[in-house]
Amino acid sequence: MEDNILEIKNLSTSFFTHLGEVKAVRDVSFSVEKGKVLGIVGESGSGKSVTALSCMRILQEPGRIVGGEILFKGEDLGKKSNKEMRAIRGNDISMIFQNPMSSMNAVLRVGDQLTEPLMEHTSISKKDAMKRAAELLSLVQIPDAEKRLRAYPHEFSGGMRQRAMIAMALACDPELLIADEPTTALDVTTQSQIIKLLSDIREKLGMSIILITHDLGVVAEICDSVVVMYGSMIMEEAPVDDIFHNACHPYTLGLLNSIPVVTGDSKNTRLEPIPGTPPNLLQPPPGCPFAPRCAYAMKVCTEKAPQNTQISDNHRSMCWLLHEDAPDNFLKRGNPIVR
Amino acid sequence: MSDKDIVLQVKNLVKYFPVKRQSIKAVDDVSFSVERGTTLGLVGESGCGKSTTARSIIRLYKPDSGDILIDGEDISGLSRKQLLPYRKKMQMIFQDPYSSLNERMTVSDIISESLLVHNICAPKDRKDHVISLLNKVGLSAGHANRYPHEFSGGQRQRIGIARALAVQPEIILCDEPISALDVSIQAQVINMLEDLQSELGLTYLFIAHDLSMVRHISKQMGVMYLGKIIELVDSEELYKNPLHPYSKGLLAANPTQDPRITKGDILLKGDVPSPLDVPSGCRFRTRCNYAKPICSEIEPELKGTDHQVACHLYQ
Repeated sequence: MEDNILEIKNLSTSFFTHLGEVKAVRDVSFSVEKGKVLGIVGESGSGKSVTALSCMRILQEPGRIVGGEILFKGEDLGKKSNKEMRAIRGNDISMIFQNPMSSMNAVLRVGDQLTEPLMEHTSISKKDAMKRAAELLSLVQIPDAEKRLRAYPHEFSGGMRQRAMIAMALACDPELLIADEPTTALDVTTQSQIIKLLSDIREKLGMSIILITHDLGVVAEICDSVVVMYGSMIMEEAPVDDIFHNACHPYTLGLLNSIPVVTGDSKNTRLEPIPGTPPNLLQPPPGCPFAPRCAYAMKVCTEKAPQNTQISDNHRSMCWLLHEDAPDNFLKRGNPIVR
Repeated sequence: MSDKDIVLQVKNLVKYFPVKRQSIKAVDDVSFSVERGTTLGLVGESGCGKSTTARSIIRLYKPDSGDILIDGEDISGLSRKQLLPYRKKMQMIFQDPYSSLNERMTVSDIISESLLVHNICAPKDRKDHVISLLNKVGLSAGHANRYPHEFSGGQRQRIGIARALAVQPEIILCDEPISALDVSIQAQVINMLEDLQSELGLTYLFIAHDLSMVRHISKQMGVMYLGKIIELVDSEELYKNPLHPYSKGLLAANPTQDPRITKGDILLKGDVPSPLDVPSGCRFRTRCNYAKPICSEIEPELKGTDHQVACHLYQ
């Protein structure tokens, strides 16, 4: 597994609140291949952002990593000191956030913010750093880069701010970029521009990307493989084509069926929503977190956590229906919900 | 047009917001009509005037000019007092289910507030009415005495819908009712809105930026750009045969939801110009690939019978 840039093994993260322990991430394992885009999909509260924050070790109190390993190029980030982590953040791994309005400093010029990671991680002069910052802004297709360096964030539109955020993240040529809902706050038109930009940059610089999103459309466009999370656990992991055309988990199928099909005749077809609401993570269901909302739930689903079933080399699903003792094998029967 | 039962008609609606000595032309000469029991979808990028249109129709804003006809009666110039009976015919569902419910009121108080204002049902029946409304939106009687913070986003949106239904309106203006919700919950709310429509014969004005959802729920769609409707057509037709270059770009930008479909080129580049400084002639010309000299001189009008489009390419 030489070509995996990041490997997460049995990661568990909890928030120790006054109400009790909230298990935000439970036993999550996945790996990111070099130069590939991994999508993490899930609803709000499913633990996708906390997984990312854990990787960067920027969890806020009362959050703590309670177990597992985060192997970045073979080294466990969980064991690094704060000083060592500072050298990695923004340099080897960088992150962009959902809201481009609030993740920039409103009282600093864009140029000063762009040069900050460069000054922090390299021994570059301010003048050269500014030059590099202008290059970065043109890399993310902001016209008039040199002039724009002197602008303040409020002079940028939402899309431009997100571009500037990406430029900032790219400043030190990171090997891994974690993008936490980078397009959620943007219009569809700007969203498609940003997605195009991310995939162009990935090709140009050969870095890996973890893309966190709740939008399956975004996943379809840019990701190579997908991790589906629900109730702080991984439900299914597969290459993107398998997720859309050979999904083997009722939750993934439910998600796919709750979005209207864009192509073909969409009229007169009713959406099939997933009934119910996501679980309360203070008292997560003892078995599969999805069992209370699952149309195919069996007795075992409510009692024991589901097993990992390997469907093919890189496709696995956590569902009791795939167990060989399940009454009517889910796989043999084919997908119950035809898309 | 005369044989159709038009419940809401908007004629040349204009709403400007003054900013220093200039004005933001938020809604600039918008006209459309909605048939009873159907849904008109309004789409466009943020800042194009979708929400201002809805808020002007329900008179949260006073329009600068233009007519708003509800069942044939113009309400654009009415005073607060005169508006009261029309408010009963028209209700609104808001985007953010968190800020649109008063945190200090119980669900039952939130829903019954409009019953009090409009003096709709006798005090002894009020509780039953609230419970029947809660049941209608998929909540139970036990929820009536709780506070909004005890509910999830999707449930809060249901409370908002129950509040809108309380006065038995004919028209509901839905201002991005699903964009703050999770994917699996969005479909629940959309299905519920569809059921309520067929059960109660409601008319919706549905605003959203998620094009696939708008297409799913709407019969007709209007595409807005910088305060103007630039294309107004049957929603299936818009997807099959969009005419305006902006509509084409907007549709092309919509994710395909399928990795096997490779998406075409991005047709829309750049950002929407500032509404303070609207381009002369056609507002879209600065981003349009087909712009001709005439586009900067003359503003195209919305023309056509069934498929209306405002573009010099088709005039």
